[in-house]
Amino acid sequence: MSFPISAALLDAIVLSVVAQEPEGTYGYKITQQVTHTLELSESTLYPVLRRLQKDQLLTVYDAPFNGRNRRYYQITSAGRAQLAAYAQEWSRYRSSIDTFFREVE
Amino acid sequence: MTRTAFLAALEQLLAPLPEAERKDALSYYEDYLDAAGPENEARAIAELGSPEEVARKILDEQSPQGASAAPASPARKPHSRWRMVLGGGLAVLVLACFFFQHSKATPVQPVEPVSSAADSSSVPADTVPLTIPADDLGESTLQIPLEKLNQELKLSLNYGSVTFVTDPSLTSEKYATFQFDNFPHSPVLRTTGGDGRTTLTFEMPENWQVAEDAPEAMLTVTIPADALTRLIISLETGDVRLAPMQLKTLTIALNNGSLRAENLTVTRDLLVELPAGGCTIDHLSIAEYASIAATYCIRLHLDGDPADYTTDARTDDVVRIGNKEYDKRYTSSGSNGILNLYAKGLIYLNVEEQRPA
Repeated sequence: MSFPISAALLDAIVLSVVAQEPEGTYGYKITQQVTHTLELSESTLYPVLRRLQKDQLLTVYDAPFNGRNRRYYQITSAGRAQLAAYAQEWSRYRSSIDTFFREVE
Repeated sequence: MTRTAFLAALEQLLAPLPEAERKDALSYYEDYLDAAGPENEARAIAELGSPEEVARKILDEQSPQGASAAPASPARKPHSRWRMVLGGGLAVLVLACFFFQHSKATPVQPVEPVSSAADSSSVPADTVPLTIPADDLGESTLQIPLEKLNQELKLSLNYGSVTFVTDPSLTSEKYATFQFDNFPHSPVLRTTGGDGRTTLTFEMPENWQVAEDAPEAMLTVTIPADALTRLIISLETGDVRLAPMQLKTLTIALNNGSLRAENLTVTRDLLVELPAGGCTIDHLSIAEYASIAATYCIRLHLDGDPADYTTDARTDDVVRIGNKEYDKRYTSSGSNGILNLYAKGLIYLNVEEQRPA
């Protein structure tokens, strides 16, 4: 991939994936969704989820699934606010970069 | 590699971590392989990469000199764990020590950076965990030079309320003062930052309980009205009160509280989330975008007529604008910026309140 994904952008992407599931979602599914679209290693996601959890942007709970507990991640209201701020910032960043490419296509 | 071998190798490689962190990571990967299912297990393990690679990413994130967690960059440049801007590898510096004072008579001590990290290649310091040694509830004061927070100030507290005081006489102040009143003992307060950015985090231990009749815990921030560019406040329990202030971006998320603001000028984005609170703003001037979601009422006086904004105000109740009432929703498409409001309760825009004499 030519353009590296910054940690903040990865935070934003993971927040938005988790935000899509109001009831919560789990590590494997999040990883599949992100790596389906982005070329990055499957092992990248755990540190991101852990950081977001520590920053209280995500919260976790355990619920039984097939006789075992599974850990679910849910977005907090602080997470939603941060995600909205990221989305705004991204849209601004994208339009500013797009101004350079307008003539290229 | 089998599941057992993978997890055993990972456990060994994570030995430098505190036990809780190691267990968390292992239980995540056990969960992960469970979710992949026995039929996909081998593929999932192969995709994760070697245990060494998996462990390195976790250790990088955990260590104070945390190396890059950016997935696409193999270079191991030192990076901060606290990245507050898109694309920014922020150097973290130890901004401040926390001076706990039992006595009000003790003079406030300005806090200077202990070390500074001018460029991102220098090794960033981690946060300073601070334990406040006190019986019961106490007060304490912290001062931070304005240039350490004029780009961004982020307050994240899981206990207590926040009040901003911006007296006009403060314009020549060079410090922001953070006064903590009635905060319980043994919480952890951290300040992190760099490049004009400061994050102040107050975390009460999870098992801590405060007596119901305890006086309200209040963090009072005294600062010139125009000292901040971006302010982010995220509280678990308390309310936020803001004195008149001007800034570019304001984000407020209160899990259990309300927002009360006087004159507020926000030149870029105002984002307010109040899942269990209401919002009152005496006078709001926005240039670009405002989004306020509240469970109770939203009352605000806009600079100018709501019709001059691109407004979308939705409520389960009514929207009152001046003397007019709109059921459930009011929309307009003016050119004065975007205003999105959502409340379960009433929305009052530019309604003159009849205050009891």
